[in-house]
Amino acid sequence: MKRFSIFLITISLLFLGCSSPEGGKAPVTPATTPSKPTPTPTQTPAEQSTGSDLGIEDIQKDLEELEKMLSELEELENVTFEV
Amino acid sequence: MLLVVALALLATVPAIAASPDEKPGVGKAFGAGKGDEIREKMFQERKEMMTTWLQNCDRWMERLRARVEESNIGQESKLRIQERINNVENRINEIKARIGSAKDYDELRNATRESKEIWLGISKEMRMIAYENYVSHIDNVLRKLDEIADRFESYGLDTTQLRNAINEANSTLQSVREKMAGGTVTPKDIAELNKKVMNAFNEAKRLAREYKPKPSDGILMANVNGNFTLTGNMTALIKGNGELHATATAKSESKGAAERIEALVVRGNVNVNGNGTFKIVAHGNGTLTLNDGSASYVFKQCVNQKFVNGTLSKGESISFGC
Repeated sequence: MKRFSIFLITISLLFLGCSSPEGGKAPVTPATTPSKPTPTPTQTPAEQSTGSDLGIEDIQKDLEELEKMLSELEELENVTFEV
Repeated sequence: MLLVVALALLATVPAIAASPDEKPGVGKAFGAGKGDEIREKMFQERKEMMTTWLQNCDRWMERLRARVEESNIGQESKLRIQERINNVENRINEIKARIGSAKDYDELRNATRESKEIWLGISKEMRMIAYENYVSHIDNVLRKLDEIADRFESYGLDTTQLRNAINEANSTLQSVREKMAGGTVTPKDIAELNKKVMNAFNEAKRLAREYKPKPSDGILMANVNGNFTLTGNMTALIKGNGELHATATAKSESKGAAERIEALVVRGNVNVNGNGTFKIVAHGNGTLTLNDGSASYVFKQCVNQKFVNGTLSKGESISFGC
C-alpha cells in the first residue's frame, strides 16, 4: 500500500511537471553573452521603388472616377416617370 | 325565438347595406378622406423622389463639367462640350421647374409625363457627352501608360506584354471613336474598351513592382531634335527617327522601314551618337551632350531626388547619376 502511494505520488508529480503551464517557471537556459544586434537594413527612400513617380496611382484614380461616372449615369437613366 | 332573430336581422341589414346614395354623408366622406390621404402621401413621396433624382442629375452634370474642364482636349472641343452640357442642364432645369410647381398628385402626374418627354430627348445626349469625356481621358491614360512602358524598357524590364495590351486598347479606342462619329456606339463598346484599358493598366502595375532603380542611378528622359552623344554606364532606350550609331556592352534594336533603327536599347558601357528626332530614356550614370539642334529633358540626378525640367542648347550637356 505504501509503495503504491509513493508510486501514485511520483506519477502525479511527473504528470504535473510535464503539463505545467508555459507561464510557469521558465526553464533555465544556459547564460549566453548578449549577441551583437544584427543591423536591420533601413529602407531609405532611394531603395524603395520609385513607382510613385510613375503616376500609377493617378491613373488608377482617373480610371475609377471614369467608371464611377458611367455607372452613376446608368442609375440616373433608370428613373421611372410613372406616378 | 327564430322569428325574433329574423325580425332583428331585417331591421339591421338595410342599415348596413345602405348605398352611399341613401347615406350620402357618412359613407362618401369616409372613403374620400382615406383616398385623399393616400394620394397626398403618394404625391409627397413621389415628389421627394423626383427632387432627389434631379439633385443627383445636377451633381453628376457638375462633375462631368469639371472632368471636361480638367481634360487635355483642345480648348475648342472643351467649349463645344461645355455648350452641350449647358443645353442639357437647361432641359433638366425645365424638368425641375415642372416637378417643383406641381401642387398635387394630378399636377405631378402631368409634370412627370412632360418630364419624361424632355428626359428622352436629353438622356442620349448626356450619354454621348459622358462617352466623349471618357474617350478623351482614356486617350490620355494610354499615352501615360506608353510613357511608363518606355521607363520600364529603359530600366531593362520586358515590356512586350504591356506594349501588346496598350496596342489592343488603342485599337479598341480607335474603333469606339469611329462608332461615336457614326452615332452607333453602345455601352457594350465602352465596356470592351474599359476592359482592354484595365488589362494594360494591370500589366503596368505588375511591372511597377519590379521597377526598382538603384540608389546611385540617375534617370534622364529627353526629347532631342538634332545631333547628340550619350555616354556612360547605363540602360537606355532611344527611339525615334534618324541615324543612330551605338557601341555598348549589350544592345538590341528594332528596325522599321528601310532598315532604319526605330528603337534601340543599350546596356552597360554605352556610347551612342544620333542625328534626328529622338526620345531618350536612361537609367544609370552618364552624360547627354547636344552637339547640334535643341533638346528638352526631365531628369533626376539620383533616384531619391525630384524630377527637374530643363532645355539644352548646342554644346550643352546634362549629367545624371550619383
